[in-house]
Amino acid sequence: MAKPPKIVGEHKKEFRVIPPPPQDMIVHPVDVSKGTFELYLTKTSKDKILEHCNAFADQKLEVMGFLIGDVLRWKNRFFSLVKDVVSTDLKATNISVRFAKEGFEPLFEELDGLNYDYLIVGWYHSHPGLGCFMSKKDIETQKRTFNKPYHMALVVDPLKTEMKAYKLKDEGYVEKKFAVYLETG
Amino acid sequence: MDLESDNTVEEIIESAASFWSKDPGAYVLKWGRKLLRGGLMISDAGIRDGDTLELIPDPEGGI
Repeated sequence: MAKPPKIVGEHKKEFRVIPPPPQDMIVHPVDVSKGTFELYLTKTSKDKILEHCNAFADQKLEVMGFLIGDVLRWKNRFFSLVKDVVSTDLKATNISVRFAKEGFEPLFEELDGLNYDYLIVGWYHSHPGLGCFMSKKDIETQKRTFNKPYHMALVVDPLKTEMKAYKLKDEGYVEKKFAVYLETG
Repeated sequence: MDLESDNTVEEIIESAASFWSKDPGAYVLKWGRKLLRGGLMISDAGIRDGDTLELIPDPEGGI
């Protein structure tokens, strides 16, 4: 009988010290005077999320995907930077969503195509017509798979044109402000 | 990770999940562009020394 697999070493990703996007690059919210944010999204990422959610909104099907980017440090604070989003074939209804089994390999191909040392900093999913909140199932998923301090959940209601960010707090969750910025290059 | 040829994918996920205090049922195992499935043995998968295996979340949303 084989011995069980054994971890023999660990490499932890260092969080680089880099300032967040400057205020003149931020397009949402309009008032950034009170802003330090724990989550920044590129406008391209936000547009891709909305496009994905809107594509299935009329059918009232939930969609979801990963938030891809990095976690950075600045002045003793951490923030997540979403540079891209990825998704694949889904198994979805109006009240549930997960990746289809046959969708994983195309998803992996998309991840491998990113060509940078990315982190999965969270996930997004939609609640068409139901508003933005974290359901019991969503919280369970957040606890099981996105339970680091930097992990975020974006919930979108494309029919109510709402997008909100959440992270775990105690046994529940809390809404977090986020900023959308124009990426350069 | 130290592996033997007849370790299974399920054992790898359980071992990695245990080490990093994760729920093994909430992840799948990625080997390059391949999804490795539970009962598959390392020897049958063709995994070799130095290959990178990644735990990828398998989230579920719903009301």
